[in-house]
This record gives sequence, C-alpha cells and structure tokens, in this order.
Amino acid sequence: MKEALRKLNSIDKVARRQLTKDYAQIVSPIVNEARGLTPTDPPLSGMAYRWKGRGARQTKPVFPWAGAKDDRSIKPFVSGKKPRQYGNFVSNLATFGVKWTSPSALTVEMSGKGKVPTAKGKQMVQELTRRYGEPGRFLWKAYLRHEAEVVRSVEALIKDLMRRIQRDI
Amino acid sequence: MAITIPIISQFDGKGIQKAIKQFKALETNGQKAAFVLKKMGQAAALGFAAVGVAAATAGKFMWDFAQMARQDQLAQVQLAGTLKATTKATDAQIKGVEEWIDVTQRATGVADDDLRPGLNRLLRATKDVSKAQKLLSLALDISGRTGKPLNTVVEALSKSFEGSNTALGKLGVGYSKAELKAKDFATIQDELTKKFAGGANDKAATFEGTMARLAITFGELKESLGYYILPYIQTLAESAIKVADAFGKKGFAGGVEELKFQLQFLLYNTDGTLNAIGQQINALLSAFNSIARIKNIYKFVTFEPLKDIAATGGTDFSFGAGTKGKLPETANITQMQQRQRGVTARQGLGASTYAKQNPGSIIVQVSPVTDPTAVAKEIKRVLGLSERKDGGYGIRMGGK
Repeated sequence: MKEALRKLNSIDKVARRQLTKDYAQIVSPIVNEARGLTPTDPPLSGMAYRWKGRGARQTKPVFPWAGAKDDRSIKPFVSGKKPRQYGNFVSNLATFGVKWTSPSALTVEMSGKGKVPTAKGKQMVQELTRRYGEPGRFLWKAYLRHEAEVVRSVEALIKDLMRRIQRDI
Repeated sequence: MAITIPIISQFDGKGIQKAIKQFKALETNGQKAAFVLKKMGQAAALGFAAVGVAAATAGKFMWDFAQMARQDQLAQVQLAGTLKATTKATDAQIKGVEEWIDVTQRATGVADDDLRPGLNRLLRATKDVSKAQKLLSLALDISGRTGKPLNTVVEALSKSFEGSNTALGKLGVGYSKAELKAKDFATIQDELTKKFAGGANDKAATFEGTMARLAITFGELKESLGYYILPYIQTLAESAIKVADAFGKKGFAGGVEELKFQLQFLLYNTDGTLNAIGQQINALLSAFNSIARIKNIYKFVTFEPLKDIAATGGTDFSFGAGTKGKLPETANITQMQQRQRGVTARQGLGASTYAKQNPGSIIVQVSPVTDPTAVAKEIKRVLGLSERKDGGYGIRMGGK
C-alpha cells in the first residue's frame, strides 16, 4: 500500500494530494471528537505550570497545557514512508492514522496504562482517571466511537487507490 | 512524545516468523507440546471458537476448569511438600489435612485457595499440624469478626508465634504494646480464642457467607470437572505431540484443526456416539445446569452424538445443545432426567410449569439456595453415579 502511494505520487501528484484531502475528510469525525474531548483548561491544576520532565535530553517542556494549541496538534496523516527497523522496533508501519503530537499528549492520554512507581504519580493517575476515564482518555476514545464507519470508508478509499494504480501500471 | 493511532498499517510478519523459528528450534516433543499448549492457552478463546461456534463457550470453560484443577493440584502438592518437610507427615496424615481443608472451606465459605497458603505459613512457623490447624481456625474467627483479610491475620499470628508481636498489635485485636510485651503467645492465643469464638461461623451464616459457601460448592464442582478432564489432557501426550507437529508444519490454523480432530476422539466413539467420557461430562454439565437455574451462573450445552448433530444441521464437530428441538425418546431414565434438567435450565422454566407443558416428564427438584448442603448433596448424588475408583472425584461432604 505504501508502495502504491509512492507510485501514485510519481504518476500524479495532484491525485496523491487529493487522496490525503479525501482521507482527512473521512477521518474528520475522529479528529473533531478528539478535539472536543480534550479540555481547554489544564486537565489538572498542576498542569498549568511549566514542567520540562526528567532526563538528560530536555527539549520542549511537557507542560504547561496549551489548550487550543494542543487541539490543533491532533491531525490525520497518510504516510508512504518505508518501514525501517531499529533492533526490535519497526517505525513507519502505519499508512493511514491519526496522531496527536503535543508534548503533553502522552501524559494525559495514557498515564496509568503501565506501572506507576511513585505515590505522587498514582495520585495523578487516580485523579485523571476519576475526571476523564481510563487510559485512552481522549484520542482513543474518539477513535473507538467512529471506528467502524471510518475503517469502512478508508478501506473503500484504499480499494480506489489500488484500482487506480493497477490501471495506470 | 506523540501518540499515533494507526487505522491501516503494514503487516509486519517478523513476530510470527520469530515464533515459528523458536518452535523449530525446540528439540524434544515434550518441549514442542508445551510450547503449543502455552500458545493455545494464550489464544484459548480463539482456538476453541475455531472448532465451532457453539463450542466456544463450553470449550473455553473446559479449558479453564482443567487449568483450575491443575492449579488446585499444584497447591495440594505444595502443601503436601510443606507438611512432609516441616512435620514429617505421612500420606494418611496429608490426606487428613486435605479433608480438613475441604470441610473448613464448606463450613466457612473461605476457599481452599486461601486456606492452603494460610496453613502453609502456619506450618512453617509452628512445625506442628494440629497447632497450625488451631491457629488457622483462630485466624478464620478473627478474620470473620474484624473483616481483615485472612492472609493478614495468618501472617500476624505466625510472626507472633515466632516471637514478634508487632504485626499482631497492628491488627487491632485489642492489645496494647505493653500487653503484648508482657504476655506469652499461649496466653494471647487463649484470650483471642475466647474473644473471637464463633467469628467464622457467624460470618458463614450471613447472606454473604451463604453465597460464599455456595460459590465454594460451584468452585469445587468446576474443579471436579477439571480434574475429570485433566487426566485425559495430561495423558494425551501423543495427541498433543500431533497437535504440536501440525502447528509446526501448518501453523496455528493447522494446529487448531488437529486439536479439533483429537478432541473429537476424546469424547466420541468411532461410530459417532458419545463414549464413556463424553457421557460422564454430560452428566456433570447437566448437574451444573440444574444449579445454574437457581444461581444463574453458567448454563452449559451438553454433547450430542455426532449423528444427531448432523440431523439437526450442526457442524461436523460441535458441542450441540442437548435440548435443541424435541428430545429424542430414551429408555435411559437417568439420561432423560439429566436432559430434562438441561431443558429446564435453558428455558428458565420452573419445574411445575415445565411439568404441565410436558406431561409424563420426570422432574428433579433441587433444594433452594439457602441450603448449600442440600445442593451439594444433590450434586453428590448425581456424581455418585459415576465416581472414580481413586476416590478423587466427586464432592466430599465432610461428614454431613
């Protein structure tokens, strides 16, 4: 499929861009729902303050919560990049998907999914869960609500793409 | 760090290739069989669903019950090991301890899964079976009265016996630090026994306790089913190896097909009728269904002879409903009883309603849920029709 996307890009760039627009249209219910679910104000009061996180590499601060800017970082994507393997990890496997690139995304979405080593961490997870539900709080929840129709539509889109490629080869 | 939800992604077959490579590297048939059984356990629902839609529930339960029986077996072996190591107990004494545990779990509603670790801990502390049993009874009374978990109370009593009263003080049984320092363990034990006497019985007599005792009965029935199946699973080494070979050659789908094939001969004769094992499992499942009518737990389908499955349009191998359509006539009264229990359970009818709708049918009433002893006696009566020679099968009543 990724090869098909690359092929389409070489044959007809306009059609390739149109495919991305069509896909964005199909997946807009998920994106809009996820944006609606994420809170405008910081999810917890402490997330209003600057926090860079631990570790040697400190790039963007994880917090403060950016509100509307965090919403805009929820986007659909279509990727024709080849999968690459780094040890046991394979990157670029997803062809069609939705991503949330905010620095605080992982913390608010998935906190509590794995082990929580500290008492303060447990407190944070408990409060997040109480207010917003189990891990998979915003983006995953939005995806599940629209999964059936979106997957059906994306499959139809892919079939069109493959037919187009077959015709043009 | 970004979160990505892939909607459509590339298939990465490296995981499956790695599993097949690992499998091929296994040297012995035993390792191969263990590998397959582990994978099957991980995908049990998927595996059993592949042998037929109706088999998914019953097959999964069978597998789970066999696992329960295996866990119970392991727990018994561990306790026996502790008894032999700490007290030099004989086999007869070990059997006596197991019977005591069985009686205690039914009387108190505390499962043997909790009693055995407690007794294990107390045995390590006291190195004497009767002292450990007395302390466990005391722990049950304290736990019943105070609501503290049994393992917490057992740990506190064990540490107190070993000389450290801190845990007992934290238990909140009414002793100050000074009192605990001043008194010896024997005195503390006597005082606690008087203070909390009857705690376990009082808790067992409550509604929650009655439900717990009934759950114990069901649990033991499930384990009995599992024990019944377990020897056949354990002794099917050759079949497991065949399944493993099929898995190695044809992958997961091939392994499931072979498992389906092997299970077919586990339960059926070559002419498609249920063999003794299949009939006995049906008897057990029917007993379960008759209780399920009261407690609305599991309602099992029972196995039909293969020719009946074909006649009713089932798949070539399915755990057919024993009550599909009109029941065939049978001169075997016991079988008729069992089937009709199954009907009542599945249709959710009361016994009198069913009798009115089916004149001439034989209905067996089961006592109300408030009397778990009567329920267990009924189960025992049914199971007594096909008791195993080694005595390890069926419900033991513990003297009642």
